[in-house]
This record gives sequence, structure tokens and C-alpha cells, in this order.
Amino acid sequence: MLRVLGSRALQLILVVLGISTLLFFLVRVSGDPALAVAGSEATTEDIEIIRESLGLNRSIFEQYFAFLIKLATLNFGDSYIYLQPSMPLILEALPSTLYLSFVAFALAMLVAIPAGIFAAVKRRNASGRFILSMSMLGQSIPPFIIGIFMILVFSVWLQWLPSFGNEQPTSIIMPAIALSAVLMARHTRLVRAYFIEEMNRGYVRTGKSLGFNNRRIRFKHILRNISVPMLSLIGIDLGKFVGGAVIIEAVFAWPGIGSLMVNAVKARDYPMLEAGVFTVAVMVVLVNLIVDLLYQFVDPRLRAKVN
Amino acid sequence: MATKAGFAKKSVSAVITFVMAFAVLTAFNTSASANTAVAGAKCTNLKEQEYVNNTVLICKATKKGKRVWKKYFKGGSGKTVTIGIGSLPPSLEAYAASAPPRSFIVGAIYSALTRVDLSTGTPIVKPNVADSWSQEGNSKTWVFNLIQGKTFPNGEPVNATAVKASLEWVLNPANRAGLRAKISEITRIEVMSEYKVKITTSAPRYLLPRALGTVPILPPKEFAAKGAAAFWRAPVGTGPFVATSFTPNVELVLEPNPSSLRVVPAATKIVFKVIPEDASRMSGLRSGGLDVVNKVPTDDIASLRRSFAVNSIIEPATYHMSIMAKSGPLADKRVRQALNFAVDKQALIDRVNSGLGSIAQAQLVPSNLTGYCREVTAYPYDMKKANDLMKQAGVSNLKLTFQTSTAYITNDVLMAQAIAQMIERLDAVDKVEVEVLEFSKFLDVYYLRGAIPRKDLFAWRMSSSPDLDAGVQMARYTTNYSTHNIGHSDPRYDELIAKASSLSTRSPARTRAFCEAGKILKENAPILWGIHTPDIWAGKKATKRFFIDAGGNIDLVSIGN
Amino acid sequence: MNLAEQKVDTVVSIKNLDVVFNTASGPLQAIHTTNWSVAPGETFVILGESGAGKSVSVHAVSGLLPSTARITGSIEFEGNEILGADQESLRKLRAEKIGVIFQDPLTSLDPCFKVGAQIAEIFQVHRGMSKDEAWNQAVSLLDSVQIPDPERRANQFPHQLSGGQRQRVMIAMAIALEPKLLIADEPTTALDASVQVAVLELIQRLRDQRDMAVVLITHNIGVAAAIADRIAIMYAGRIVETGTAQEVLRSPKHPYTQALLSSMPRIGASKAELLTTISGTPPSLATIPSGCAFHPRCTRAIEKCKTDVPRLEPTKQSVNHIFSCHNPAEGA
Repeated sequence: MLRVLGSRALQLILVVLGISTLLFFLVRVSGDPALAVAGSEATTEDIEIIRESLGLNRSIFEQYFAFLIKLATLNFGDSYIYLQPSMPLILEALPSTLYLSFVAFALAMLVAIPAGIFAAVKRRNASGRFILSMSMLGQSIPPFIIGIFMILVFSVWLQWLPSFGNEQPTSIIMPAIALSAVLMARHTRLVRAYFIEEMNRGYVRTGKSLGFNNRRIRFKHILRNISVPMLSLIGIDLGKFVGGAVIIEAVFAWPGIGSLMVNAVKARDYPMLEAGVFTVAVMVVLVNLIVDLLYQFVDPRLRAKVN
Repeated sequence: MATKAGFAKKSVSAVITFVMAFAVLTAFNTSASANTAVAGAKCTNLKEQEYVNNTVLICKATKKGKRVWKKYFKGGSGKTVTIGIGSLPPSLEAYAASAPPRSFIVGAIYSALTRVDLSTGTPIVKPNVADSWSQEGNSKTWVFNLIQGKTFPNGEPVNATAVKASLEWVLNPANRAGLRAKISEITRIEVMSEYKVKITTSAPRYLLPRALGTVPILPPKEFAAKGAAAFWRAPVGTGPFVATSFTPNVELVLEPNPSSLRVVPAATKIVFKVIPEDASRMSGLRSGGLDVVNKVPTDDIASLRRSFAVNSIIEPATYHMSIMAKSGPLADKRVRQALNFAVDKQALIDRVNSGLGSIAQAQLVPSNLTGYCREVTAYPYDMKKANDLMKQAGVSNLKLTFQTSTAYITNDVLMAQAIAQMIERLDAVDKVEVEVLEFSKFLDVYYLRGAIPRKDLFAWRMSSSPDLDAGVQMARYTTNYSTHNIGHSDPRYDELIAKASSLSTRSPARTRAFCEAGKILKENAPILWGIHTPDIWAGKKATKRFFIDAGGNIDLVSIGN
Repeated sequence: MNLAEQKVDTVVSIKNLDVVFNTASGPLQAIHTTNWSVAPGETFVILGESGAGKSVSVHAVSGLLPSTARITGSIEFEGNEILGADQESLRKLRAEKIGVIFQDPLTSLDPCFKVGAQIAEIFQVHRGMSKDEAWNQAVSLLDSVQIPDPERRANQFPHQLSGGQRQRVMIAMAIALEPKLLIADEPTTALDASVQVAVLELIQRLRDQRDMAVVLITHNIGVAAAIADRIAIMYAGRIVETGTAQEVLRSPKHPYTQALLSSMPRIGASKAELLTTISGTPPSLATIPSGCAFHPRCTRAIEKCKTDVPRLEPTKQSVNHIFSCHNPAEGA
């Protein structure tokens, strides 16, 4: 197990290094941050001075070497636009994003698993079909629209919930629902599909022949079996989830890393981008690592291979 | 007996009241008259503001039509005001730029030598760190007499040394201050005495007091000790407010500054909430969480007007398109003129901007700035003339590309599409393709730097901050101007601009030179002139003194709930 | 008296059984008026090609048919009619008295649980045993199905066992509650030839030890020959011939049986090998030919075969050897 963790850690470092390097070159071909820093009234001379002071006049390899040192020390330097060290800015905003993501994710799963099972078991009934069509609807409406719609209903019309910020305990409700909607709908459909597939499996027939009741077969055996493909999907969905979080943070003015990153992209704020992408990459890789480890725990076939 | 005593008491109190009222009135008058030494202190312009003895005075008309200063509010009576804003400056840096929203945030926290009051629509320069100023003999030097006996919140005195240190820091190119360009003509700053500064420029600069209104004065010791970056994180200033909390992209909290130089704000707290999504920001106002919002989408105006106060100003900026005229059919000025005739500006205002905004005259500054020329008017909408010009130029089957920003200028993409359609109606034009550029790409194209070249038509906004005059903008169309080379080249134009720049701002010859140059520019038409776009804010009706000035700045000092 | 006798004689007896599936394209009859029974200690083999309805008739007993199946006729288990009985008591009866083994032991076991736990679960659910008790019981059960080193094997997952071992685990699960009837649905089809014999021997041994009735379904004549006491041949949802193993295998009367036997595959022969020996393919449920369903493939078919369904009638030699043919070969 230790060896596994060791090789995983190495993988993590390689992936993060790869992503960061890719980003480094991508942002540098995308354009000149000095222009964004300079603003619209600067002269050509001003821009040159800015380029020099940001180290942008050095060769790309010198810049990359400097970047590797930054990466190793986790100090990406001061943001061009916020004029503050970039990493602390990201780390300050991160808990808020994680909180939103976690609540939304938990909500999605708490609804999707029972709803999906219900829709699978009652797939021939109106109730099962209703859940299926709701989930199709949920998946096809952009989170942005769901967010705005909820604000109109619950903030503007009923005035129950705050429409922006994260100061009140109830602030999390709408952003979490809006963010979870797509995932909830998607996973309801997936749980349903996997569940129906599993219902035709031999072990279900065996369970019936052994006189096990439906609850035991569904919740002990089938659920355990569908958790294997579900887990691998969670790892994949996480990337999309980060994208969704950026939009939801903008809609609800939720103070997370989303708005920081959007502005960093707009302004080509290299230090912010580098620190932000590094952090997100580490998060995604870490979650995938956890998913992988869980995967081995849930699916004994994989565990045997590793051991 | 009892009644007598009662009477005596009453008369004594009546006398005391009378005397006190008289004293107050006298004090009022003296303070007002003390100010008459300063430019614009006489109450003639409606809405003009004065800061006197920690109060805001506003010029109002009486029933008889006389204009008098009226005390507008009591400091600290305005409770908390929450403002939903599309974006905030990423830092509280004082010397970065002078456009809103940075201009009103910087103005709230810091004090410059002067204060440019834009509430009447025309810039009026008011005292701030400087009490008064005058131009010395040779007209290259200005003397500023400073306010006396004031200190920064950290105890450092507000004096000539602070002024000198602050301006010199901005002037040092190594410090990359965005505002350096505005005062780069300053060659020397001399401390005459504790409260007197002499500033010398390389050439006579009549607008210097106005330009200095955007350059804050900072406590020199603390600024030097901390270094700029650290200072911006915990700024110390003498503006009406202190930033008590600032989270970039999220929130800025302003509270009254005990060291405010001239005025105590009405609100006890102003909270800016960054809500980038238009729809969310409007919902924040409708749900009651916000008192005021900015950047109201034009679609929302009608529905908001029913229950909210809508405040719109015409931005001191011109939406227009530069025409890339280096080669091809567009190198023919008749084709460029035809494009100008083909665009129906009033339709842009009515149909795209809900009737808000105004037609831009065929020049580079709005009417309230120096260098504006009355004789140069907008191209009228005239399709026949446009088609004739195209025919004369022998152009047909023209295909054009129109580059526009997105979410940068009010309704930018919609306007680009509307203009493209208008141009397509010309007989000689087959197709106008609209190319939408996200912000960083837009900047690349603007500076003619990136991988994307500037195409036939490139829409942008030329903003004119109050301290500028036409000279800065017009220089962009001289031959081979570094960041704006679109192929316009006219020796006579270059000559006129050079001549105007060398003349005194007040000189009629200078205005005449600008006018001549303006006429040439209109004739050559390297620009497709558009409109002055609106800047729209909305607020609760209960929010008092919700006012936006001509520069797009919200009046933070007087607003209250 | 008669009833008591029956209890001793037959474990399960089905009479005039019809099974119809309700499908989207209308009802499909899978089983036509089928009768068979099986006694304790007896092995009854149902032989036929796939789609002949072998599994449907036995799973009408085991209760594993899909909910779209409509079953009519009579199924008596130990003398009691179970068709139409309430679901809960049926579920109990089937759990306790009927064990089922399936073709593919890998998919029939839950891949996510240890085999020991899967067996133990049966004891926990139906015998109310504690986890430890149940586990010990599971281990000894594994021992009794001749799995070497049962302690270690119990701790393994299905994918870690060989095919033969997995089928032994399935058998262990099927007999865990000491059922009266063991249904083995193609129990050896997925196994290597060498293992097939051992598994069949195990089933036989357990049958003898526990006096179980065994109903075994197969398409493989070799398997039938190895284990059967009595054999029924099924074709297109009907039994076409039935009798003792010796009668059916030594002197087949129905042309289909004869054709099947003429191929006489070894144990372990593949399905393809069997199918090539008879011309044509077996009909699907939707397109069962009129009259004798076998007539399009039959070399002895006469006009009558196309219109009239032949009745099952005993042979001249034995009342127990029954077959259905309008035009049997000489000597039938």
C-alpha cells in the first residue's frame, strides 16, 4: 500500500508539473499581459517599462526556469492586477469554493442515488418516468438559468433567501442547488441506467433464488456494484464541476476562486493564473487519487491486481 | 408671580435662540464668503457642490429663480448604503488610472491637491489638499497654497513635503504609475514653505490644477517605509472614507474617515458588493439586498423605473470605430465618408440603447472639454449620399470585417450587429462580418500587437477624463502614432496638431487650430463616428442623494439611507 | 392416503403448464401444456436446444421468471399447489426448499463480496445466525462441496476462484438450506470439460447424501447420459419425448430425439457442434410452425404434421416412455 501511495504521489507531481508547464506556454502564446496591466491610456514606452519590470522581456526559457523555481517554492509572485502575493489570495478564496462544491456535490448524490434507484425500480410507472424526464430537463437547463430563476423566485418574489454573497447561513442554499442541478440530473440518470443494467445481472437472480427480499438485493448488492462505475465518473465529472462553480460563483457573487480566475484570464495575470491553475490541478488530482483509492476499496477485482 | 417668571424665561430663551440663529447664519455666511477666493465658489451652476465645515452644500434654485447654496445633509445620518457593482478595481492603488469605478474609489479614500467637481456636467476645480492656487508670471509655474493644520490618520502632517514626495513618486518612470502620463510635463516641484508648493512644467499647462485633481497626496514616510505594494493593501489617506475591509472581486467597505480633510460623509458605512452578472445584480436591487446598482442593462430600465430611481448619464466617452485605411477600397476617403453617412446614429440610441445616449459629433471629445469645436458636427444619416459616394469611388461587392469587444462597452455586440446591418444596406456592400473579441484579445488588437490584425472596422471607446483636452486624443491620428497606426496620414493635420499643442490652453488660436484639424479629420474620416453611450445606475427611491456625476462617478459623500 | 404417498413419491409435479409472456408485440407462448414431476433422490434431465423452453418450465417452479410471464396450469410442491399462492410464503418456500444453480457461476456470484460472506448471508437471513456463526457454517459448507482449503477460499472474491470452484460455491449456496429440490440450469456449460465431470459427480453425490430431487437442464446429451435417471426432450415449448434415461437414449422414438442422438456429442461438446447435425435452426417463440413444430426440419414429416399437433402417447414397450409423432419410424 505504501508503495502504491508513493507512486501515486509521484504521479501527482508529474501531472501537476505537466499541467502547469502546459499553462505556462499557453498563456504566453495567448498574448502580452503588459497591455492589460498598462490600460488604454499607456504609451508604447510605458508598455516596454512594464514588460521589463514583469520580466517579460527575458527569453522564454529564462522565464520558464524562473517559473519552475516558483513552482518548487509554491511562491508564484505578486499578482499583476491585485498587487498582492497570488498564492495567499487563492488560498483565501479556496475554502469558500470548496464549501460550495462539497455541499453541492453531497446534495447531488443524496438526491440522485435514491431518485435514480426509484426511477429504475418504477421504470414502467408514471412516477419513474416523471423522475426520468425531470432529470433530462435538469440536465438540459444551464446552471446559469437555474440560478437566475431561483433568485427571481426566492429572492425577488418571495424574499426568503439572499441573492448574493455568503454571509448568511442560508446563503449556501441557492448556489448549492444551482450548482448541483446538472450533476444531480446526470447522476439520477446514470444511477437509473446502471441500476436497470445491474437488475439483470446473475447475482440478482441468485439473490432472488436465495429468497432475499428486494431491499436487501437493491441496497446491499446492486448499490455496492453500481458504486464502482459511479466512482470513476465522479473523478471525470469533477473537472466539469469546477467549470460550473465558476459560473455559479458569478451568478450569486459567491466569493470563491472563480471570479479571481476569470479576472486573471481577462488581464493575463500570469502569477494569479499559475497559482490558481496549480491549486485547481492539485485539487483535481487529489480527488482523483482519493477516487482511485476508494475504487480499489469498492471493487475487489482492482484491489487484487494492485496487491 | 409664576406667570411673570414664565414670561421672563420665555423672553430670555427667545433672545438666546435669536442670537444663536444669527450666529449660525453669520458663521455660515463667513465660511461661504471665505470660499469665494476659490474658483467656482459663487452659486451659479445648479447641482454644483461645495464642501464647507464638514458639510456638503449644493447649489439649488429658489422659487424665485435665485440660486443659493443649500446645506444638503447631516454627516453620519445616512446609515449603511450597499452598492452592487459589476466590478471593482483589483487593488486600492491610487495612481493607476482615472476612470470609474477606480476614480470614485480613489476619490473616497484619498485626497488630491484639487477636486474636480463634475456634478454640473462641466468640470469645476475645487480646493482639496490645496486651498487656492495661482499661475505665476511666466505661466510655466503654479503656486499651490495648502490647507493648514491637517494630518494623515497616522499623524504625518498634510504639507508641502507630502505633496512633493507624492508627485515625484508618480513622475518616476520606474514606479510605473498609470497616471504619470497626465502630469509628465512637470519638471520641478519646490517646497516654498510648510504649506506652499511651486510646480513647474516644461511648457505652459493651463489645465494643471485639473490634472492634479486625479493624483492623490499620500503620507510620505509611511509610503516609503512600507513600499507601494504594501501601502495599497492598507492605504492611509485623507479622503472622506477609510477602506475598512477590501476583498478583491468580492467586497469593499468604506467608513467615514476621522481625518477627512473637508467633509464628513452622510453614510456611516458604504458597502460595495461585486456582482459581475447583470441579472444577479438587478435581482439584488429588486430583492432589497442592495440599495444601488450600476451598469443597468438597457432592457431592465423600463421595468426598474416603476419602483426604483434610475439615474443615467451620458458617458464622457465616444463609441466609435476606427477604419483601417492602409490599403484597399477603404483607403479612398469617399468610401469612408459613405460609411459615416450610412450609419443612423439616432436608431442606435433608440433601438439598441432604449433611447439613452447622444449622437457623437464628428470629433474626438465631448462638448464639455477644451478643444471641442462647435463647427464640426456629426455626419447626417443619408443613404442616398452614401450610395453616391460609393458609386463615385467605383466600389462594389465590398466585404468588410467589424471587430467588437464584448461586455466592455454598454451593448457593444448589439451595436456592432446593428451597425453591420446598416452598412450592409449600402448597394456597394455585400457583407459585414462581425468578429467578437474577448477582452484580452481586444486589447491586443487595440495596440496592434497580437496575432489578430486590426480589421476594416474596429469599435472602441475613447474616454475623455475631465483633466484631458482634445490634444491628447487628436494626437492619436497624427502620422504613424505609435499605438494607433491605422493608416491615417495628412501633413496639414500633423502641422495643426503640433501648432495647437504649443499654444496656451486659453489662446483662441489653439482652439482655432484644433477646429481646423477637426475639420480635416472629419473630411478624411479615418473614423466611423457613433454615439456617446449611456452609463445607467438604479437605486431605491428611499435612498437619498443618489447621484451620478458627468464623469460616471457616484456621489459617495452625500448618499444615505 | 393417496396424498401421503404422493409426498413421498414426488417433490414437484407440474401439470398442464402453460407459460405466456406478455411482450410489446403481443403475447408469446413459451410453454405448451407441459407435464413432468420429479421424486426425491431422482435426477430428471430436460434436454433440448436453446429456446426450446427448458428453463422456462423449471423457473416457473423456482419463481425466477420475469414479471411479464403468465403461468397457468398446476405446480404442486410436496403435494401443495403453489401456483397462485401469496408471494411472501412462496418466497420463503423457494428460499428454503428449492436451490438453484446457474450456467455462469462468475456472473451469478456478486463480484463485490467475499464468497464466504455471500454464503454466510444466507444463514444470517434465513437462519438468523450471527455473523461468526454464519461464517463458520459457510466454511464447513465449502468443505462439503469439496473446495480445498475452505478457510482461505471463503476469504476470497469470486474472481479469485477458478470456474469449477465458483460453480462449487454456487452449489454450496444452492444447498445451504438443505432444499428438497435442486434446479441446475446448464450447470456445466461454462466449465472446462475436465471440470464438468467433477461437478456432475458432486451434484450426484449431494443428491444421494441429501435425498434431493434434481432437475437438470442441458443441451448436452453427454451430460444427460452421465447423470439422468429420467429424461425429457423439449422442442419449441413442448415435451416431445420422455422416459427413463435408458429408454430415451437407447431407443429414441421421436425423429427429433433420434436426430439429436445421432450426433451424440461427447461431454464438453460445443453448442455449434450440436446444431450442425440437424438441418435448419430451431424456431423462435414468435414463429412456431403449425402442427408438429418440428415438421419443417423433420425427414419423416407427412401432411398431417403440418396441421395437427401430435399427442404424447406411450410406446409399445413401456407406459413411462412417451413421445409425440404422427409418423414414427419402424418399431415405435
